[in-house]
Amino acid sequence: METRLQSNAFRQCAEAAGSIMNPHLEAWLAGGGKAAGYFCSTVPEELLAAAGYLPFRMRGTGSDSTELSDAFFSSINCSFPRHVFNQALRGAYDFLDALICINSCDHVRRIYDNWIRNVQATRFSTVMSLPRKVGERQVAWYYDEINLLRKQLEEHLGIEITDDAIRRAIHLQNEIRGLQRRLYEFRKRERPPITGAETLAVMVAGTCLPREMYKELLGELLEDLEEAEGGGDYRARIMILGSELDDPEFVRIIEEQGGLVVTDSTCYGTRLMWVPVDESEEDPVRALARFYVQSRPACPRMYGNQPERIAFTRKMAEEFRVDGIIGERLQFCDNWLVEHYMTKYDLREHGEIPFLQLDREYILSGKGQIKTRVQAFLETIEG
Amino acid sequence: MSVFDAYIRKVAEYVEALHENGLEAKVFSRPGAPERISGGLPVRVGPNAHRGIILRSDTYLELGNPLAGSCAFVLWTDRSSLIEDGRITLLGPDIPESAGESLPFGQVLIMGGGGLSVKDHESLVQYQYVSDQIEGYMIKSAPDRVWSRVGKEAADRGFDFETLGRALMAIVKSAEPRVEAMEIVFLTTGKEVVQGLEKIAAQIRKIGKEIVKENWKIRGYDIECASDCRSCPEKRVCDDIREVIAVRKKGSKGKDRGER
Amino acid sequence: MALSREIKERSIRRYKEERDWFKLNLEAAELLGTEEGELSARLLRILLEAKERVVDAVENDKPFIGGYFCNAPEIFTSMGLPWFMVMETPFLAASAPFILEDIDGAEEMGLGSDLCTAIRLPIYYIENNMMPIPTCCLGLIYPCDGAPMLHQVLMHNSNWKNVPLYSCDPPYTSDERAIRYFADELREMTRFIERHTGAKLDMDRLVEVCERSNRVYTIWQEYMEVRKNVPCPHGWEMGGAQCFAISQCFDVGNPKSVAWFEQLIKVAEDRIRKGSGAQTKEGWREKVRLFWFDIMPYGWIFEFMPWLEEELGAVIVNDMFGNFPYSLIDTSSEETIYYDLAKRNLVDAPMIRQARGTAENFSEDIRRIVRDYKVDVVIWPGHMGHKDGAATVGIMHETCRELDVPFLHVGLDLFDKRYTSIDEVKDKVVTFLEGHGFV
Repeated sequence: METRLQSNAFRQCAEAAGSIMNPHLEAWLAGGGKAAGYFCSTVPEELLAAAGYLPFRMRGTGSDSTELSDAFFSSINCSFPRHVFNQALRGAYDFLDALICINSCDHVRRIYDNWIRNVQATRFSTVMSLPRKVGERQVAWYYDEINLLRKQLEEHLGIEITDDAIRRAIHLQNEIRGLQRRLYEFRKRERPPITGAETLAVMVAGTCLPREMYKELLGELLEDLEEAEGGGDYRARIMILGSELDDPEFVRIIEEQGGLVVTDSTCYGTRLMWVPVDESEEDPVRALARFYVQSRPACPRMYGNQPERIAFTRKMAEEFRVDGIIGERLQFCDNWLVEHYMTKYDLREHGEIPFLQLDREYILSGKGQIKTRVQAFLETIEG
Repeated sequence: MSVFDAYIRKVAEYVEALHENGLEAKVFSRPGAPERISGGLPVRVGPNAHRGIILRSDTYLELGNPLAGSCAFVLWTDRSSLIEDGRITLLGPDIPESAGESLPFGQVLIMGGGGLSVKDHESLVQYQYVSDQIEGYMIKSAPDRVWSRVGKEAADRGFDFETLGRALMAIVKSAEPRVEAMEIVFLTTGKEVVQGLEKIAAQIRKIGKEIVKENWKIRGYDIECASDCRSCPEKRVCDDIREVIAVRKKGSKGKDRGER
Repeated sequence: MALSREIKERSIRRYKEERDWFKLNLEAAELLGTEEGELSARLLRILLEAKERVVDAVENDKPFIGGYFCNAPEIFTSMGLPWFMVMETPFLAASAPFILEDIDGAEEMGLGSDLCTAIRLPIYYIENNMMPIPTCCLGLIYPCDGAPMLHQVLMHNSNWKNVPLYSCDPPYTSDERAIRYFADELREMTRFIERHTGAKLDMDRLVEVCERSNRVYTIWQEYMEVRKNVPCPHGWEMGGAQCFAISQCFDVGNPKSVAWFEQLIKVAEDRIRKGSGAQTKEGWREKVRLFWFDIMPYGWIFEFMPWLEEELGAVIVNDMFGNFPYSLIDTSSEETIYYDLAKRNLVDAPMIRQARGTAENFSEDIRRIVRDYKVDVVIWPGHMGHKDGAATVGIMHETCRELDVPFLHVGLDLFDKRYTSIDEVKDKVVTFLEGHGFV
């Protein structure tokens, strides 16, 4: 991707985010390592890491059509699973030893059903049952789900996944979360040394690189940013709120119009890392269950905590001195359509931050329309 | 050797244990070709022998109501020698002595044939549901169980478990000549006896689901369209896409699946 | 916080309009002079009684519930609480004259055009104070993404945010663990209702309601059995949709409902004895047997279904709502009652059965229904809101290919005839059936 950032660490992250296979993943596999794919940020990737896997968050990066997956999905399905599944049918995911699906949404959960009937190369596959509600009974349910997955992976791999291994994986991931939060701190500056598009590339890289190595890269990047010159040539500071967004190009289009994206509430952004997993909890699996069901910033797929979600949006907007919020949504997503409807109401009711809802396709199309709408939005902000 | 061989032995052991505990077994035997098996039956057997409905007022008895107890499954093997062809074992009351009853019902169809393989599993399982092929016998449309009725007229003509067993054997052997030998177990006594069989059935269903999933992968999908392949002008395009998908399917052994 | 008289009056206005529209329907059904007409009239009388109970509760400040199907209505019915279904209008009154205008209103509010219309409409009613505001509300947060979002809007709305809301959490699995978990959610739901309405659960009364409900489910299953007959004893006018409505949507455990089901099966059995099928225009006969694998097109049912039968001889012998295991409630203990209610409402219930968990039931149901009902054609209408089903078309199509039964995927909105016009739907169906030599 185009960048003015002089950073080798960033270059490696951008390369990893720009395709499914990346040189570090390739080296990991060549060295006998295994990778486990997972959908949605609510699958406890720490457990996969503790099992010795490189956890790989599923994407459709590089897809240019859905000609194969159209046999399985319909035109009213979200383009994200259609492109991911197309990539799988093309063989782009044959490197996965395991696939962990989850009942995240109506579109993505059906990937499991189609995958197990059609993709031969994956040796282990399962679907987790994530509760909708966020109470104690739901934490207990998900605790059992994680332990069930743990047992299944132990049987599949012929290993024991110890509590210590899970604790180590949690610790490493918390360290990464901490570094990512520091990365976001740079964006609070008047002249942030990293753009929104660049940040997204770094965040995506954190879901497909060997995690120890990613942590090192993040450290290097933070050092590079201390010295980097920030850009101040923007018209407004923008926050992105929304669904699955792994394509820095979308952010870049917004930024090209003068809307510098300084923060977000997305599942490749703050919702991944704004709070850590509680390492003081005696049972590490319980800590994971509580984190994924209850304590991390939730998406609207979780039920009943819209007040907390809008509070988180407001908090981010305030901390990052946001001028406007863009609510992006993949077309046909019911969760985000209604969430944006409520967000818009809440923000308007209190005469707060301007809000734009922007529907998009997973693989960007209609760039001209996005540009026009963003330009109009920026003009509204500028008043 | 087939995946179900061990379960064929388990069923035999279960029946033997019931017998040893004092449950009397009636055994009928009619080996051989379909015509010989069905010859002399009191009801017609074969496609459309029955319209599929027995009204409540025409019912002589009911089998396998879930409240009474119900369990049915199919086992098959490529080793016919494991099976005593034509053997029908009944543990519990027979039909003629049970007018107006709702009996618990366990039914195990065991089929053997050198040419049988996992690819045949789904079609063999379907032979449990022969609702319109036995005159005077109706199977309700209920998922995962055989819940059935015997009509009064058929009962008056002497319909019993030997009739039902022979009819099922004749139907299976006519439709699937690769089934060389077939054996049937019926249980009609006590909910707990049928529930005992359910322990084996639960394992069979798990294995069956895995086989079905694997068979899906082997045969692949057709593409989505609004018409049927036979009349569709785009069929060649679909075939090409199917071929691409088929190329993607590499043989892969030893896959695991988290149980769901 | 008590609602103002003005808010209360406005909230019940549309509900009364709907009630009055049903009264007109009742008059029309009474004039039909057919057995179907008589059954429809009896059903409408039961529905109107339920509606009057809700109107009375609103007007006289009595406790009542905003409920939902698959919320084990046996529980709050046994507590003597009037209730209505939050999604009642699209399910029961989608042919009412105001519906299209309301759909437009929902779109203008910013709810777009790709959110299920059955979700958009109640959101529109809630946001515009066009729905009775209950003492407490029971949500349904499965089987699709739209349902939990609808209930989150409900919590968010200024008139509704003080209405206590409880929703049972649905696991994605269907095993023993999932059913026990859901049974605990139902127990919590009972405590919630007691807390907010002052009503108390009487186990003897619950047993009584469950036993009547069992009677209904037993007859319902028997009724679906006799629909296997060739010709099918009823066409589109009577079937799974009506049975579902009267056992889950506005009534349960009512002796009048039991009597309705008894009349239904009697009519069907009589026709089978006489060898006659669905009674439609003279000289008509059943030519094609369809499995309509979805909800009926409630928004344009009267403009499509008679045409389907009378012009093409195509009879829907089973549909998504007439197809499930009809498991009964074991009333021997509180434990068994909650367990079986959990199973019925989480695992068995139509639509929930297919849409909530993994996709096995889509293919297994097609296989069973095609086999048992001598189905000639499977139609997946492809309702714009059923996105999990839309992602299962490959599996359904492949199942049909293997069974050698034609599969038609239309693509429409069951509630809005403008999404795909009725003419377009008809054209697709005719072309398809002609292509296969059925008409």
